[in-house]
Amino acid sequence: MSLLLLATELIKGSISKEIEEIFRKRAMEKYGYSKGSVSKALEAAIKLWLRHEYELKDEEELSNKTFEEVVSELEAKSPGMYAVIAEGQLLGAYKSFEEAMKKNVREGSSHRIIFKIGEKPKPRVRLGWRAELKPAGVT
Amino acid sequence: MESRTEACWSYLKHDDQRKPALGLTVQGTLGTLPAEGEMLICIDTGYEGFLLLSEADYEHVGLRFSELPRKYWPEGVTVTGEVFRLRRALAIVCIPKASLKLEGYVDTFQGNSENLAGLNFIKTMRLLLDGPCQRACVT
Repeated sequence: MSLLLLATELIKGSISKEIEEIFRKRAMEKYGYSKGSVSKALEAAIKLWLRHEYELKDEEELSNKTFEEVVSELEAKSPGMYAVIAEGQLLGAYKSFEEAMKKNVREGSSHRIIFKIGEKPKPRVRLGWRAELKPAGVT
Repeated sequence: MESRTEACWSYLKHDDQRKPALGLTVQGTLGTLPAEGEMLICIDTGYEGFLLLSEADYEHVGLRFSELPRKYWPEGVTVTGEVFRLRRALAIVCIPKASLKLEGYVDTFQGNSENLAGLNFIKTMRLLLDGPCQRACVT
């Protein structure tokens, strides 16, 4: 008979008394009044939080870093044009999106940034009735 | 007399209901979706964005090669109040039947399998929703 051991880690942190009480109560309502229910709820909460944000690949991080470095200058010099950044390099600014899109993607590359210089989209979007999240999964 | 072209599509059956839809193509760096003809996408006026694509379609058409900087990826808010990060890219969207070519933001999010045309998409056109005939027309 083999014994399967799941690796677990202890996380220490502080939250308000009010949140702690609500969290503990909800955890027990969902997972039962027994040992481990708070841990299960905590893991589910962390999974949800992790899903909230995308983890960027190195190539994406590099190009986003370049964006931060060049955006002010581009806004001053080339407003309304379309900038292309790939593999951490600003490849140029083009008059139209179609022209920018034609800029060749290097073999092996997996990401590229194209944006209209000076255009800042709304930070929040309502998704409507049909878009829904899949359940976070069992813990 | 002014001649007007009219492009119409029957409502699309989804779940238990028939919903207004449009036939369009999405052009990304790696190609056009679909490769031939058009795909029918439901209109969702509860979605404030331009176009929402499933993760699979977003990848397939190569929208990772025309993504906005991470700073401009908006948060999506569901009707139940969940908030999470969207990925956003620039793309060319065509409605072949109406000879329309639009440039706009295409969104996706982790776990999304829906394709939807939103408010920012339909605000660019005259759209007739003919309930009794169960069809949507771009006039």
